[in-house]
Amino acid sequence: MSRRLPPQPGEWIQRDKAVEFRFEGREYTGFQGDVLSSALWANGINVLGRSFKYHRPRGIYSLAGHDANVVVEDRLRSNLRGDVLPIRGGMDLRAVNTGGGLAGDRYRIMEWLSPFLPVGFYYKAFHTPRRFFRFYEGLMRRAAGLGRIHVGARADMSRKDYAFCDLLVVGAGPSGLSAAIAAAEMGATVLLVDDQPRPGGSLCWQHLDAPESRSDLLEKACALPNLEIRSNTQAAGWYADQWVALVDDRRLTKLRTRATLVASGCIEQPAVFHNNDLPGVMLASAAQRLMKLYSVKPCDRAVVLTANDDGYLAALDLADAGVVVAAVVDLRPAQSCTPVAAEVAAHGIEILKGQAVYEAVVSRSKNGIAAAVVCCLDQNGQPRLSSARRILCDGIAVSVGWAPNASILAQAGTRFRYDSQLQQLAPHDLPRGVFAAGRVNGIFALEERIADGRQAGLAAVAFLGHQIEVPASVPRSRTAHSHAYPIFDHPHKKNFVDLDEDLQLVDLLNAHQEGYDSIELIKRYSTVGMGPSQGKLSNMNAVRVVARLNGQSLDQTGMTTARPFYQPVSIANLAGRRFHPYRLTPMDGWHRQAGAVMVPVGTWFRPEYYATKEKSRADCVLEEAREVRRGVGLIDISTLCKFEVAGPDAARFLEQIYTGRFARQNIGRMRYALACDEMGYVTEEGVVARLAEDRFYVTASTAGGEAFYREMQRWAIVFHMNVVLSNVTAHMAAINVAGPRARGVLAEIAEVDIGATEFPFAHVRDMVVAGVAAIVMRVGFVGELSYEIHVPADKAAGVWDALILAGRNSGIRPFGTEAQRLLRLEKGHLIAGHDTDPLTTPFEAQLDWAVDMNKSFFIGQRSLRIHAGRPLERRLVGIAFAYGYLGELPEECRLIVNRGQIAGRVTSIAGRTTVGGPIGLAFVRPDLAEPGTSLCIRVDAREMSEAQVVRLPFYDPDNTRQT
Amino acid sequence: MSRTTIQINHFGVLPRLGLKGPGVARWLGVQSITTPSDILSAVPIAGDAWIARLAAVEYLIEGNTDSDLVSDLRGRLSPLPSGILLIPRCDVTFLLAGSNARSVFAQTCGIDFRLAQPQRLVFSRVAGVSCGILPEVTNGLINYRMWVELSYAAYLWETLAGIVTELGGMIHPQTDTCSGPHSLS
Repeated sequence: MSRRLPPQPGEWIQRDKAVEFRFEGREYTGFQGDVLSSALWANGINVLGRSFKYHRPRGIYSLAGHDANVVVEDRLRSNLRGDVLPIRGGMDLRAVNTGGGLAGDRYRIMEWLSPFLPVGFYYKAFHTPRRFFRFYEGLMRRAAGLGRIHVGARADMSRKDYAFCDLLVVGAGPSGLSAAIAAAEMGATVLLVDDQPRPGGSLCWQHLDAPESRSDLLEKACALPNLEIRSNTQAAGWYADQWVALVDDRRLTKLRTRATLVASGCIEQPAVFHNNDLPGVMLASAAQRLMKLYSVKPCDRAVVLTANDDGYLAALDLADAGVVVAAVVDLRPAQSCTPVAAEVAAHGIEILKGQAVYEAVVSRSKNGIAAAVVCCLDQNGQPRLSSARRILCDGIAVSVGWAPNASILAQAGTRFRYDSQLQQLAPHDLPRGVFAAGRVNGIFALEERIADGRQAGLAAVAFLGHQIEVPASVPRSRTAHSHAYPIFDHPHKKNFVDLDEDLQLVDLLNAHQEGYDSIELIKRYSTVGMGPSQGKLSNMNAVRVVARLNGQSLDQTGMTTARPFYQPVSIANLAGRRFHPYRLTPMDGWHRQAGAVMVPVGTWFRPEYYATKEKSRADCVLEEAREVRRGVGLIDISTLCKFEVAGPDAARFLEQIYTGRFARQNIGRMRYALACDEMGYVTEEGVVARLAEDRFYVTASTAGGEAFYREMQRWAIVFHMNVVLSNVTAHMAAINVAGPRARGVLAEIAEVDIGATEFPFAHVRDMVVAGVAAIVMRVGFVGELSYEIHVPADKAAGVWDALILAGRNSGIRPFGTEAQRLLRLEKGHLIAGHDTDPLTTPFEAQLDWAVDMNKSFFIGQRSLRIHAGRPLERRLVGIAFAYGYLGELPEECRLIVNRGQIAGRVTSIAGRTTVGGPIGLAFVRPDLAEPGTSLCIRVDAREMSEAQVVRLPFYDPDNTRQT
Repeated sequence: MSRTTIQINHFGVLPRLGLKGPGVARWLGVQSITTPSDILSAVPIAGDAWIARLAAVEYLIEGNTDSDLVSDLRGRLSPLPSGILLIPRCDVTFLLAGSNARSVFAQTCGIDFRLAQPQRLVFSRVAGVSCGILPEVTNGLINYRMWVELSYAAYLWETLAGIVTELGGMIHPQTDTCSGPHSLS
């Protein structure tokens, strides 16, 4: 059976391009330009989906993406909306939310169980007996949600763009086009977006008696070079400072506009009556879209339920398409006949005034309707059953009202007021830089909408600073286009307020009875408006119901908050192209060629160790460490943060930033530097080297240094000091040469004498190394004779190569971060941020020696005085396992347990060391900190291990090696 | 190059000199180098080089591989005159060119480059990385000179070159980021 009509003027389908696709395992043919819903309806398919809870059959309702009746998936993507999904050749689609397919959905039994599934039933059920929890959980997981995630599928990457304009116009209907043209003619750069495939809005399917309007407007718009039109693009969300997310199928555009004009029209609203959700019952605008855009007949025999002239226009369109219009049922009581009503009457179509559709009679196949039961309305606006009359039909077109499509306006902070003449919410208080035009602004006549668009466009341009004359505002319609209460109860219920959530009128009544009497509470308890269409077709009626139950006006009842997104946005669009910056040292290429196993350290990549064939990671690491102890090794430490601090106040600045003394530090000397925050907790550590009277070279950790630099900048401003800070982390590379033979290696390529006397420990020198000007420091992080060579980054690779060459006879080899961590642990050197946490004081970490409380001021001093006056709660100590320990070693952060209580935790641990057995660092309770104390450390849920507290350092306690 | 293409060139680490301090402007004047009057602006100087004013008393000079200007100036700074600090600068230079160059920024940077003026510096994040960008006019087209720290250069080049390729643009053959500067020609 085909419902396809002969060619219609302005139709969107291309009849010369047939498209074959599959739906629910069967093949169908449509045309290019068809959406899934229109193609299936054209093929005579009534049931396009199953409802969420009761699995009732559903068909076309809005055909504008305002409902979630038709939601499908293919092999790769899920939750595609059939009303806006263009069909493509080869598509293979299935409806979501079925058990065994649309036709044989075994979950349709849920409708029979509906008496046991009232509103909020899940709050009251499934909590006893507890032993059934797993069963209930499995049941809910299978029943809940829509669609499936295809874990093997990889979506095409969706782009993200930034864009900018003077004026964003949302909605390319008559008002939006008019507004965009007016603004662009005044010189503004305008971006006009519309979520439909073509611009024109209702001019495409409703005002076809004014074709010149659409073509004129489009021609003018396309002629303006500063006006860009984007179709198939939704304004998904409006954010602070006029930042708007625009989403189409290819990208997400992050738009920054200077003004926003919303001309997004209105959304036609449903009437609530028994079986108002069955296939065949649809909005009148859906019927018109079907006929005008896709040339598909909505039904053979229709009843039109209306409360405005739009319904009459739809009746005429239906008649023109060959549909027998059995009756127009007008909710309004008898009143003067409008011209369009007269035209309907002239067509011989019966008009029933002051009546309502009380019930849609389900067809024998259960997949559609067979008749409408119509009743007169009493003085309370409720059906008088004694007047019931059955009218045969297979389609009911509903046009009882409109709600402004105002999501973007609401997100932008617009306040709305219910206009009782219009029977519609209308913008009452627009924020600065936000404008509204057309139906969303409560203006309905076509010419007035075009004028209103122009007025709003010019007002926007004036707001942007152009000196122009803005015409007076167009007054709002004085005729109601919406019915105040198109909601009718029924003893058999199934009168749906929210089609997405299968919410019936009785559900709202019951929720109210249970005490959920505000619109926000009712929303959350009943889930009205929380489905995929986010209340586009339900919020208004829900508010009407709650207002009536509370005896309040709609303004008093209020609306729920509109939040992004306006329509569903795929996760792929939100993810888009991701930027994951990474940083490489100048020697990165060398490391990789040498077989380094690279490890991410923040955004940097560093060599963890250098892999050797047939040797395990642990063996490689230990060998590297041993070579440093025995001979010489070199490590790339370019990731270390490095700053220059210069200026007349440089020394004084460092005195106040760090806990130690630097003001009288001699030129050419280097000191350990510890920084605390204002609470007295350790934040950073490094070294400070004095290069000149007013110039210092400072290092900080790879992980925390950048944040510490920002703090330094802030404090420089707070202190009002004459100091220049430069972050040279990426501009200077650094190499650490360490081991007993380090001096010999460096001496080969250094152009100064670096003998023990000429260049003692804790000194710094400017020198030329391998022809490159370098800052060289004698440091001791790994506990051996050690030099840090800092050179400009673009020269570092050459220096590294020179060191390798110079050290060839000494057996120089590179070592990685794991060997470095082992070596420093053996020397008892902590790593801030690893062996300390954000609440560690220097006293707990045995860094008392680095704190000079006698200074006049340093950051954290006041708090440290308070800490010093209190007993310690923990201390950082060295721990050692028995030599030859064969048990499982605890990992870092494992707990130390004493008499059933937590007494500390491990911060660092190493199983294989150059000093013998496993060692580590740990925080322990002070009473357990004495060397020789035995500690029980948890390994896992079942196992414990034993270690002893030992004095630090584990290696070279007399410090003869590094000095 | 066609006026409708995008092209991105990688010039490696060009010779550059960073100077900061109250004495810099006077010293540069003595070297016959005119400094830009506005902060965040740049002017060309002899030898196919240019000078940018990064802050009130901070300047950056970039030359090209054929010019000795930067090394000459550096040589004249020993010993360092009073009021001048040498700021180590090791950035990699890219050049984004072509009439569609802005479409690369559209995907990577939140700045509206339609408003960017030639010789006015822009500092922003491009693809998540801090960059300096200098619009320049060459043969009637606006090109964009970009600097990024050496450590991020490989990442940014890979990212921007990928986007340029997607947009149908051209990539000047990449060089080793550490091997030194390339000729501007």
